Amino acid sequence: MMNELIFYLLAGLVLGSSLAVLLIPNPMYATLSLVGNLLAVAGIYALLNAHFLAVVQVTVYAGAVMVLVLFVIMLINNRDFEARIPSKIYFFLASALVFLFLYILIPRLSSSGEASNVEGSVRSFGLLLFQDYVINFQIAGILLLAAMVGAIMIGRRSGD
Amino acid sequence: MEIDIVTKLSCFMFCAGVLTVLLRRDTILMLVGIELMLNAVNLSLVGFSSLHGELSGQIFVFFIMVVAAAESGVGLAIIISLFRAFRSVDREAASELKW
Repeated sequence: MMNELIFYLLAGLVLGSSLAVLLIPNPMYATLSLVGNLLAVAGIYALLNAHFLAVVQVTVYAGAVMVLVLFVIMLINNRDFEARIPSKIYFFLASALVFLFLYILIPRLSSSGEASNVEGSVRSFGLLLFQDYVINFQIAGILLLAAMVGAIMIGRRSGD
Repeated sequence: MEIDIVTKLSCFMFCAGVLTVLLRRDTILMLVGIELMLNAVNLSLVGFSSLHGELSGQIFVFFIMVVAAAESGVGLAIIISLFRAFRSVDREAASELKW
């Protein structure tokens, strides 16, 4: 009962903050509402027994990646954000497209079933990750290294 | 807890991300919309992992997080060099290839 209550609270937070990302004109506040969205999703992960993923979501996603995005927004510091309203025809076209997508998708998603108690604890997650998926783990490390080198090469000034 | 609601929630989040990418003219906010879409996919994967009692879905979510971190780092570097070239982060500013 208590879990249901917390789940519906978090679901409302997710709905509200994802709408806020779409609708708030100020980029800073839109990104901060994405941080709130990520934290609420981390709470849902914890309710679905994915404990390790909840912790990773809070530390890596909401902590590191979003702080990077906020740094770039503060660095660029554009003040002319209120002029960026899209034209009405694009707005209605995109909304119609998305509502069509929802209309097709929602009835096909009725995969009703209860959440099982699969344990996503650090122990079981780590055992699976380092036994069955160890090659993928190494490739992910190489991908992160390549992305880091690429970001440095793209981001530096052309002179130096 | 019903998994149905989790998948519908992730569907809604994905649509909000798509609309953010389509309608926002700020390139940083387009990146934020991509993060929202990736997060919606992660939520549905965790829901289905819980529905089927299979831990591999959570491993997939872990790798998607790795790819999202790499993508956001490279994307922000591209946005910074775009800002240096055009003095703006509006996506209409970078229209050199438009004819």
